[in-house]
This record gives sequence, structure tokens and C-alpha cells, in this order.
Amino acid sequence: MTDEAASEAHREGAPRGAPRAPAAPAPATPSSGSPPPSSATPARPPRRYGRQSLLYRDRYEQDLRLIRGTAGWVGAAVVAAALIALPLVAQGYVVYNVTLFFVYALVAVSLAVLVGMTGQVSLGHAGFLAAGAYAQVALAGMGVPYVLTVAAAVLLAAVLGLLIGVPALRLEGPYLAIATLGFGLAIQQILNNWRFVGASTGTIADRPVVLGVDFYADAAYYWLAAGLTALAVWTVFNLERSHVGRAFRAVRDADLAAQMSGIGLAKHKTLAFVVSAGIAGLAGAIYGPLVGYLTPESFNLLLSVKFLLMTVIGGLGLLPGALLGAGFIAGLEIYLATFRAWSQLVFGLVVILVLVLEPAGLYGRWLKVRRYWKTWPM
Amino acid sequence: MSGLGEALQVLVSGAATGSVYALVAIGLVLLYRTTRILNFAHGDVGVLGTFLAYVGFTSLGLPFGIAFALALAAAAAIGALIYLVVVRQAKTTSDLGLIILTLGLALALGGFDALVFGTDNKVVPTLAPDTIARFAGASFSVASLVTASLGVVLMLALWALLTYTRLGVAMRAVAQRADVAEAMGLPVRTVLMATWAAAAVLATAAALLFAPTTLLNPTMMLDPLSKGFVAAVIGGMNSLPGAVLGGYVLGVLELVVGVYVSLEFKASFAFLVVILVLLVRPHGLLGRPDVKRV
Repeated sequence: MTDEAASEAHREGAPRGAPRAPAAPAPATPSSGSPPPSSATPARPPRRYGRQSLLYRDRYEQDLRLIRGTAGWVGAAVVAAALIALPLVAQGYVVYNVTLFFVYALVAVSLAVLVGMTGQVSLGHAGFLAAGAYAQVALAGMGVPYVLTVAAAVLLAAVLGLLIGVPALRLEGPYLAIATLGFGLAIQQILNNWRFVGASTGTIADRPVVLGVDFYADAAYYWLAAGLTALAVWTVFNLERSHVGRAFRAVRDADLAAQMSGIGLAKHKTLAFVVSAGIAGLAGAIYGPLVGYLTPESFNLLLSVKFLLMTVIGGLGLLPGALLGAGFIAGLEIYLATFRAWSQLVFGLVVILVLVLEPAGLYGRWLKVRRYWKTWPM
Repeated sequence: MSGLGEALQVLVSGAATGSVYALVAIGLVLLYRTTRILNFAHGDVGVLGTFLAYVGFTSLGLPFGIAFALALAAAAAIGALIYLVVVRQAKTTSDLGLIILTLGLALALGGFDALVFGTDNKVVPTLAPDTIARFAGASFSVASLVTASLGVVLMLALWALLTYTRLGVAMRAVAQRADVAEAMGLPVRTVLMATWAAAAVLATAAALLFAPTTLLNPTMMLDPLSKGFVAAVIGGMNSLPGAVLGGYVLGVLELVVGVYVSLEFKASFAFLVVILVLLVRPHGLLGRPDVKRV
């Protein structure tokens, strides 16, 4: 999993523990004898060297920050304002498709946690999505309050993630890919034969009413979905920069070395599966009421494959890449729908082309462009 | 003796299905152990070959046996072409990137089939007349016997290729250590091209043997491909005998479950088996774990 994209991010500055910039020197402890003269200098903030400070972050606090600098805050505010204002200006089908994009983005982000951070592969994420969607719809049908149905959807998917994550500890590479593929197909077939949730004919999902507020309209449901998605994405971005996120990446890059450093391999690999499945479950809980009707056949292998495509094409497992990839694949699908019979062929060719031309994915390309302009004219 | 006859019947039809799974599985394993690529386009290559045979049989009026053989030759060319045009050009070197590449290839090939040959179901003839033979109280269709035996013949041919020919030895050498093989003067790229061609021939043979039992359409190989993966994983992804074993075991077990336990459960049974086998042996029945260096 140590790919070009990952090393790009490394240079750009996710905390990897490697000493690069002149970090604040460790507090000198002249306990015995004569310390070397250089280490006797008191700790002081490191100097900034012209343009370099734009490229490299030289303090830990800078690394920890989610949104950096004025430009970052302005950018975040613009994106947030655009997302909030969208239903006021756009047509209904645009709003619907952007809500669908939120679902895809959540699953892509959940796969980025699993594939990108810990290096485990899953070809069965449609199964977790289905579990979340069906749990939410079934409970809502029984009259359970909306908040509890969403919580139950996340919980059920997370428990399934635990069930898969534990045997996955012993598996790697193709074995894990096929085992998860089997899990996805098994979920689909269980739903196909389970009368309680409508078997192969499927089940109707209603838009929720929360605290007297009706989310039936596309715009209202859009805001609800946007809020849930933003919350989950924000949590995952923070998780990545926490000690758990660093442990995940250590497990991915060198599992034996990580174990030597005291990182519990089994704990973190399983935890990644649980977190990933839980987020996919949340995506499912949003998906059900959005589309209004659930059938087992919509959660097929192709959907799992598409989720993996989003994560990889966006930029092998990097979180912003997953969002970019979800947008790219979702947009491409909508655009290609006008091609009718040609759509699948063109879709496949685009996937091949992206991988042939830009192995680091779309986000990898963006990082290259950004670095070019930041270091220009050097 | 009807119980015994029925058991025999289940065994033979299971073996016929199993030989399709085994053919798919050895194609996947052949490619995986040489190139480390989990080839999700395998089924679609087979479907494309089958469509070519179908066109040769219906539009050009060739005898089915000839169309069958020509399709295998065309599949070899398609396999070599995929290696030269797509796989060799890709800059991706990570395992996951290569998996995604074959997924893209599968989508493109499936889309191509749907566009050129249509998505309607087509009937593919069997190689042998579909008559019923009776033996020891059991009745078999001759076609399924032919399917089972042709699968065995193809597997023996692959074994002979790998054991007795220079190309086969070179293929095994590249599978073992590509860099050393190259240093020894082996034309690694040509060998890899030949491996892709051989895998494509195996895929097409499996699809051609499977097609008469169902209907030919662009998504025909979806189920046999996933079962082939299961068979390969049960046997061990780097073991060709394991793939054959996995294929037959899965084919027979699946039919036993379908006949004696429940028909609804039959389809998901394979994935239960794979998880159980992997829990006990994480690298399959006959596979060897990769040695890991720190």
C-alpha cells in the first residue's frame, strides 16, 4: 500500500513521525558529565526559510490542525456555504444526486479507512451498506424513533464488521479479497430469501420525521443527509490524525515493526474493520429513505467494486482522494447515462486510462499540481 | 439401489460443474502466481471468446468443433493483447491498483460484449449430443460427461505444458523469481505474454463448456468466476493442483447441498465453505504462505 500517493502525502505532511523539519529540539537534560555544546542551546521556535514554510509544516501543532491558514478557512467556508445553499438554487434531480453522492462519499471514506489506512482490502462493502439500510428501514417500520434507527444501523454494521474483521486477521491479499467478496454476496442472498424484509421484492423506505420536522421533501432530506455526512467525515478526518490513525498507518506500512513498537496488531486491524463497517452502515441508513425502495439486487458485487474504484481512483486510500473519487465516479455515471449502450464500455475505459496515466489517482495529480505552483519557478 | 444411483448421479454432475470451476480456478492461479494479479477480467475474456465461437457457429456456419477451436486461438490472441496494450502500459505497481485495473478491464470487456453482441440470451450448442446414458441405476447426460472429461484433458495439457516444454519451464521460473529469471536471460515479457494467453484460453474453454448449461449473455460468467475464485482460494492461490482440487470439491459439495440440504442455501454455501477453510488454513488447502522478511 506504500504507493506514490501515500509518499506524496508524506512529503506534504501527514504526521508520520519521521524527523524532517528542524523540529523543536528535545529538552536538553544535562544530567551527567559534559553535554555536547550544540544541544545546550535553549528550545526556541524554528526559523522559517522563505517559501519552504509554505511547503513544509515545522511544528506539531500545525500538523494537528485540520484546517490550515486563512486560505484554508476561506475555502472551507465557501464549500460549506455552497453545500448549504445548494437546494435553494438547484433543481430537484441535482439535489437528489448530490445526496446520493453523500452516500457514496461516506462509503468511499469508510473504505479509505480500511484500505488506505490499514491496507486491508474489502470487496464486500455493499454488504455493510445493505445491512445499515435494511436495519434502518426495518426498525423505522416498527415505529422506532429515527435517531435510534440510525444508531442501530451503525451498530449492526459495526458488529458485522467485527464478525468479518476477526477472521480477516489471519487473511491477507487475495484471500481477504475473496472472503469479503463472499461476505457481500452472502448478505445479498440472505436478504433475498428473508421474508421479514420483503425477500427479493424488497421493502419500502419512508423519509423520516424527526422531532416534528418532516424530511419528506428532497431539499429537507438533503440537509439532514449533509449534516450526518459532514459529522462522519469530520470524525474520520480527525481519527486519521489521532494516535489511532497513526497506528493504523504503521500497521499498513510495516506490521512487524508496528508490533515491535507496541501497537496491538489484532486490535487495530479489527478496529479498522469495525469503524469502516460502521460508517458504511451510516451511509446505508441515509441511503434507504433517500431512494425510497430497497431491493437486495441493488447491493450487488458491482456496487462493492464501484466503491473500491472510488477509493483507488481518487487517490489510493487518502481521505480527500476518497471524496474526490466518489464525486468523480458518481458524476461519470450520471454523465455516461446519456451514452446508453456505450456507458459501461466507456466507464471501464476511463477507469483503465486513469490507472494507466495516473497511478497515484486524482488526488495524487492534484498534489503534484499544487506542489508545482508552490515551488514555482524552481 | 436408488440411493446409491442418486449419489453417483450427484457425483457426476457435480464433477461436470466442478471441472468448469476448476478450469476457471487454474486460469486464475496460473496468472496470480506469475504476475500477482487477481484477474477479475477472467470471466469476461471467456465470455468474449464464447461470443466469437457463437458468431463462427451461427453466422459463418462453421461446425461447432471448429468454431470451438478457433475461439480458443482467438482467446490466446486476446490474452496476449491485454498484456501488451493494458497491463504492460500501466504504471501502477501496487497489488490493489492492479486489481482495480482488471476490474476496469472487466467492465470494458462486458460493455464491449453488450454493445457488439447484445444483451439478449443466446443458446450455445453442446459439444456432444444431449442424450441420457444409464449406468448402475443412475442416469447421466452424455454432455456433462464430455464436459467433465474435456476439462480433465485441458488440465492435463496444461500440466504437460508446464512440465515438459521449454516455455512451461520458463513460466515456472518467472513465477518463482522474475528478476532472477530475467538475469538468467529468459525473455520475461514474452513469457508473461504467453501466461496471459494461456490464462485466456483456459477462461474461454471454461466459458464454452459452461455456456450450454445456461444461456449466453455478457454476464454469464459472473457466478462461475466468483466460484472459480472461491475454488482457487480454497485450494491455495499459488497451487495449481490446489485449484483443481478446490474446483471439484466445490462443484460436488455444492450439488450435495442443493440436493440434500436446501436449494436456497446452495448459492451462498460456497462462501461459507471458503470462510471455514480459510479459518483453518489461511493460505488454502495446498497453498504455501509467502515468506516474509523484516
